[in-house]
Amino acid sequence: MKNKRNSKLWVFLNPLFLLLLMSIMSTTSVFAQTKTVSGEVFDSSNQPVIGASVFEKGTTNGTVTDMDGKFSIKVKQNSSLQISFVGFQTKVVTVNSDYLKITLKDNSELLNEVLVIGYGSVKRKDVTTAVSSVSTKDLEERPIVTAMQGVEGKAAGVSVMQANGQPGSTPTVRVRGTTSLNGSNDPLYVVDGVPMTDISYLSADDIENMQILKDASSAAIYGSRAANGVIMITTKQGQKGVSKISFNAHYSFNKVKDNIKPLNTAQYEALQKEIGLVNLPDTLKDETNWRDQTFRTGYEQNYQVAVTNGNDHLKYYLSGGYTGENGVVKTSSYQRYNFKLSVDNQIRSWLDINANVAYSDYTNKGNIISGQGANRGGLILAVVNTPTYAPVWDPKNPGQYNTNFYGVNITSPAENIARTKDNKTSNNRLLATGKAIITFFPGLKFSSSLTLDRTYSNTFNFEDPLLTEDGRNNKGTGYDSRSIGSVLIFDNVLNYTKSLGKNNIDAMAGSSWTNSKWSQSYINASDYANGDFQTLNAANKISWTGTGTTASNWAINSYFARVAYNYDNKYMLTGNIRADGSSKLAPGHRWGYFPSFSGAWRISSENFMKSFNWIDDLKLRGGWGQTGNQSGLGDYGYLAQYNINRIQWFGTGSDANAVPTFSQSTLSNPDLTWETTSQTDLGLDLTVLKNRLTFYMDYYYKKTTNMLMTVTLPAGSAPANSLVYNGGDMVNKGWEFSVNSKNLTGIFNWNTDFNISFNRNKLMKLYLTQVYYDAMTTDDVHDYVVRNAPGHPLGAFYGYISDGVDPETGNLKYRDVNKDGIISASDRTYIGNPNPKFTYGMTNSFSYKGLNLSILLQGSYGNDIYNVSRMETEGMYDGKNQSTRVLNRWEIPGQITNVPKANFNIKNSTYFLENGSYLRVKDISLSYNVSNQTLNKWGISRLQPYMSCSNLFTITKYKGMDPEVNQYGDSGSVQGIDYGTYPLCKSLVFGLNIEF
Amino acid sequence: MKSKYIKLTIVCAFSGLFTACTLNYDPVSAPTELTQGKQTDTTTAVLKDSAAASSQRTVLYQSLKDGQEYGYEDLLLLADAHSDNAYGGTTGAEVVPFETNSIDASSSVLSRDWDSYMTNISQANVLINGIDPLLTEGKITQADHDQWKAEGKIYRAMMMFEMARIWGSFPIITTIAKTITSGNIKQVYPTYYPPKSTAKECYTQIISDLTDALNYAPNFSQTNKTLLSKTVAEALLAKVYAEKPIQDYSKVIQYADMVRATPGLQLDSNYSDLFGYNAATKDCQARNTPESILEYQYTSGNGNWVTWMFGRQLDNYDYYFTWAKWVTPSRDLINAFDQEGDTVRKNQSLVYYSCSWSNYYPANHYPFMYKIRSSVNSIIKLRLADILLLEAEAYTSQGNLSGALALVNQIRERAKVVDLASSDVSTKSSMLNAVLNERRLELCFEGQRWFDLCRNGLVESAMNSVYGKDSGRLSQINKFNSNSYLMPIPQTALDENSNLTQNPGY
Repeated sequence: MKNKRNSKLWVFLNPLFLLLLMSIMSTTSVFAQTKTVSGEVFDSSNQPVIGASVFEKGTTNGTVTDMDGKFSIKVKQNSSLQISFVGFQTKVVTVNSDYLKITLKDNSELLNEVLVIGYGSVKRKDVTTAVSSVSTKDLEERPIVTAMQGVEGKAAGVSVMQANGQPGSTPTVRVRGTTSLNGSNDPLYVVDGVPMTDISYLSADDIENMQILKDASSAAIYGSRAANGVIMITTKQGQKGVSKISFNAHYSFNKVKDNIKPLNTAQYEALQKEIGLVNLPDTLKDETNWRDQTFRTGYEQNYQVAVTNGNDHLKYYLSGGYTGENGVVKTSSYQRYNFKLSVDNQIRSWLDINANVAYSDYTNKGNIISGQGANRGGLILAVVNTPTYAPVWDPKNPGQYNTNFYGVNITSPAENIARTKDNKTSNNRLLATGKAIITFFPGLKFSSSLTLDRTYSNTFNFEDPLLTEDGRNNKGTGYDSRSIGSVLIFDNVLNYTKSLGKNNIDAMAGSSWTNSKWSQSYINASDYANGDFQTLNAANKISWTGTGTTASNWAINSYFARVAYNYDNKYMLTGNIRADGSSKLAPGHRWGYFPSFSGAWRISSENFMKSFNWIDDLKLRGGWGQTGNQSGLGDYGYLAQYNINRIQWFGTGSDANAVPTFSQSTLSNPDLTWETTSQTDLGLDLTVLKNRLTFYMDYYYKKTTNMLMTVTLPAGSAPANSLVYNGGDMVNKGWEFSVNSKNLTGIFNWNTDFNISFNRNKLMKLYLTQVYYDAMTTDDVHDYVVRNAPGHPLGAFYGYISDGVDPETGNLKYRDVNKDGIISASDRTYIGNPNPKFTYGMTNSFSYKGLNLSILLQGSYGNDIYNVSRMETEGMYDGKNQSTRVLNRWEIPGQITNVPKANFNIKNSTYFLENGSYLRVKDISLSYNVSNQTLNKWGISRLQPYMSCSNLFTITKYKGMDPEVNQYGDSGSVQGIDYGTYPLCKSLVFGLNIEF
Repeated sequence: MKSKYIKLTIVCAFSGLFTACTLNYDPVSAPTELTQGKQTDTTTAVLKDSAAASSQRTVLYQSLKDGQEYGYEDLLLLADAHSDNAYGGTTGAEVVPFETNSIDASSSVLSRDWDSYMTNISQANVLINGIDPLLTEGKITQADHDQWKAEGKIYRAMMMFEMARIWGSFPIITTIAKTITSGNIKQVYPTYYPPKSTAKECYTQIISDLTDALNYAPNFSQTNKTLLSKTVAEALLAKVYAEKPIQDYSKVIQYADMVRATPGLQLDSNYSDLFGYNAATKDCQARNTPESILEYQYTSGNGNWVTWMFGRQLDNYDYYFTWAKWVTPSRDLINAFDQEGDTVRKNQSLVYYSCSWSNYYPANHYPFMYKIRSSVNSIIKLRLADILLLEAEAYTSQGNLSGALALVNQIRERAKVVDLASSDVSTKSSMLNAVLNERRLELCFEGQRWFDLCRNGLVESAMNSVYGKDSGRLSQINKFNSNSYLMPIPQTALDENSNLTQNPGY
């Protein structure tokens, strides 16, 4: 063993020392017959490979290639050379001439890709389940703030949706559809083995690779928390023999789409005459472009530095970075500082010690008000809804925004921005993991790790007492909330691998416990003298009802085991079992058992397939498994809970000795247990044409039973009508296809990756209350547009069917669905589905001599969007300004048009329902690897300028600002609603990667 | 050496594999059934001790103060904007259908009202059902038990009475449903999804609660009119017996007389005491006026929020005065005041401001409902004038026109309006018209007018003609007919509970 270690050590000593050693060795081997061989090492695009190890096979005699990829070595006659380098396949060549030209192949064959699965890893070719791997290669070149943004369009069965464009906002991630009505639908993230629900702290630059466990048989090892899929993230670690300093910087410009124009003053006045609610003076003229008052060219900047080095014993990776984004909406911004250190030390031959520490500090500022009309501070809608005649500032009251809109109940975008400009949320996150891996004997390993996941969050809001009307009404408000969360995770895992002839066994057993403590304090205050000091000591009133502290705790205990058996790489079987106990569930129902089985048959390894030599790999996979869910419903959902209400102790008629009242808020559920998802997956992996074309296909059927939900019972029967209950069944089923093709290899390289996913979702059954309404639209209509009931897909839209504009009256014609002669609430019906028929993504990457171009297309088909924004900008129901679309409105009897008259009979109807399908050029990245002698002399091994462009253009029929929109991003029950939502923007990025 | 380490680590390893932490975490900052008591199959309601009962009693009283939306604002929308007293006041589906008579089951206003009343009934049930075991266990004094239970019953009757007037009938729930478990779901399920009772059953339940309460409810206090007192029960009984399904005018008179006999209860000589605001003290002009029977009171630091829905908030003059206000006084009502030369009550009922909108009137002279005018003004839920005029209505229907006239004139004198001459009201119908008109002027914007019309079967005749004679009113969408007397059961309630049935006509 010692020898072996030494032999590896060779490679990592610096070239000078190496030369010295070599010269000594050459003298010691002088008696053998030797000859000098020289040569050059290239990569597939004919670029020299610098620092590759060149060894005489079976000896410790070796060298490394120089700055030009050249080497020279003395070897015995008839020996062979072994050339290796990180990222390339190791190559062995026979010394048959004095000058060798060696081309190393990229180590990118998918079959050999190592996939991280729960508590272990496996090669792609041995996988028995549905696992998607996401290339993280180009993440650093894109204006990505949160890592999951980079997954959009890249993996079949994984829907990533940037629900809004707020700086730093996390995208909505759904793996194979939505499984829960009220529970959490977010996948579980496992970063370097640590499970968590939020990865905002993580810089995309620190990610080495990302895998998504989609089916139950792969995810089940995370049992209870895996029903929504598991996203395995491995961060960058130190590597043996890689000693480098890398620096990545980019700067991007962001612009918002400009496709909704407001009416000018004359057009607005004409419209208001027809509506007849507002009387305007004759002297008004266009004064303000509210768009310019709201939007700016946003920018994002990102700087990341990483230092890494490693030898046989000690490896480390140290990185730090800064990401800052100033949103396209003035005053909205995001900042993150991130720091990470991983150290790995083989301290004894049998003991490996590993530590990972990550710290991140990130702050959102000036989040806008959305999902509200311009009358309630909704910013994006106010851009169109505010009449252009109005000035920004109140001419009579300096320092106050103009509020005179002749009785129209709106506040201008300038004022709406000012309402939230000082609001910010700062987060600090520390993740520290210590891990020991003990090798008892080859094949048996034990690893034990302890993680502390500490979050500190501070939300501070302030509204100036003078600037805005809302601020003046409340004489200024302040809010300060601070919370601390500590999650401790203690994992112990035993791994055993054994090969007996053609039989390979891989077994794993382990335990994990997780314990969380969380506490919060919050203070509401008001009545400030002025806006000079924002801290709450400057407020006269501290709210006696809105101030306090709270806390809660939870824990999960788990035991798990896996056995994988593989016969001759032909037949593979894997079985998992996990037992989870959660404190959040009712005593006696806390433990859930989640088994899974999967198998694969590599047909291509069979003798009868030998003649099909164009097939490199053909594998059939199948699996069944169960996973659980218990998140998203509070820490004590099984208990009848009470609100504490403070009772007034001051003022006339009050009891000075009053104590708070307790009033019951939820009902008891002594049977509350796990939501269970059973999933069957069938898959096919096919690799053909010398690994040039790889094809994956999966069919899945996913049934969720005992769906966790907050049941609303009819009020009146019990002290509360809200009950956390295992109350429904849901089915998601679908197909996924993905193709990876190396269209051209060689100097000009062209790869295409394509994926497409079809998911169908249906709420099958609700055990108690049968109907849930959601998503109230504008104040004017004040009616729900989402109705969840069995037999329908989740989030289905519900309303009236509009049959166009009546040429006689100018009103919308609504269909009398129940044929009772009148149009009333009972004529509402299901009108749309926010779930897409399919989503897809395609990446084309080209490279030519260090020039790389990557184009990502991505889209969605067949989903509906209910456009509440249009109700506000085309509803013509009061004095709000409208978009220029209403210029086509009906004005005289007999007129044929598709826009109804001013003040028409507005309702939630198909008139505002739109096709949300789109195809977009999500990203184009272009980079160039500069290589020349001068750089090499300076020790620069990589210099890569790049530029990229995000959301360059979108093909869609959608009339709103962007079809990738979801006002209620995180919700399972409501999707596809545009309601003054912060729009996505186009970005242009310039950046540079340097490595020393 | 090495094997020693290995052995040690193996021991550590296996102990590590089987470590476990506890799964028992009790809530740290909120009461739950663990501290408040568990609802079992044998308990009728959970109240663990006298303090819990007292807390539950406070919950009820607090809900009266806090229920400004369903219990005040929405009642004004229904009783005043849906009648001839007022217009909706602003745009939107919350208010416009009340003015244009196009309310349907999708009304979010009715939906929240239904849920609020039903929720309140269940809160009353907790007190009423939970307090009896405390007495048998000796955890509460007899006096507290009797009084608190009586207050709970008055409260429950009030909620049920509002529901009966709005929807005709509702599911009568007087007990607490059991906790749903996998074992009992079949038996318990129907109690969570009850059908409607008949209107008669509903009123019978209301009367039984109120008459029960008469014995033990707290005595009327001249200094604390927030209490659910005996007089409150009597006043409610008078109002309940006037309603169609159980109409009994002799009972109305009987209970009205009991109310009138309450010591210290009398008309306030100064009408403005009821609604006035004292700018000097920045407080309401008077609390616990001699006339009021039940008030919800608000003080600085814990004011009502509902004022700004209707007009200016005099203790914060510009507070949200950019939003068009609800329940705008109608031209028809203003005419009615002017015809009587009734300036005292007109000036206390409505006020003119200049504002920035002009939905119903010119912006420079725009009337607002004025019966709540600051965040520290009280909501007067019951007052003597209402009961006196109701008694006049009862006398009229019994043919005792002089008895009715005396009461009406008593009200008019206080309002500084000339007496009605008996010659003008010599027939039953002219007297009834006079009483109803007096009620309109006296009690406008107090959530009465629509119910006055309903009680006397006058909805079609009074309301279908208003759209023609009131030039400011939005055009009528549906004609009022015999189905208009009851509001639609909200679609949300129907969908939640498939055992409910919709009222006819919706």
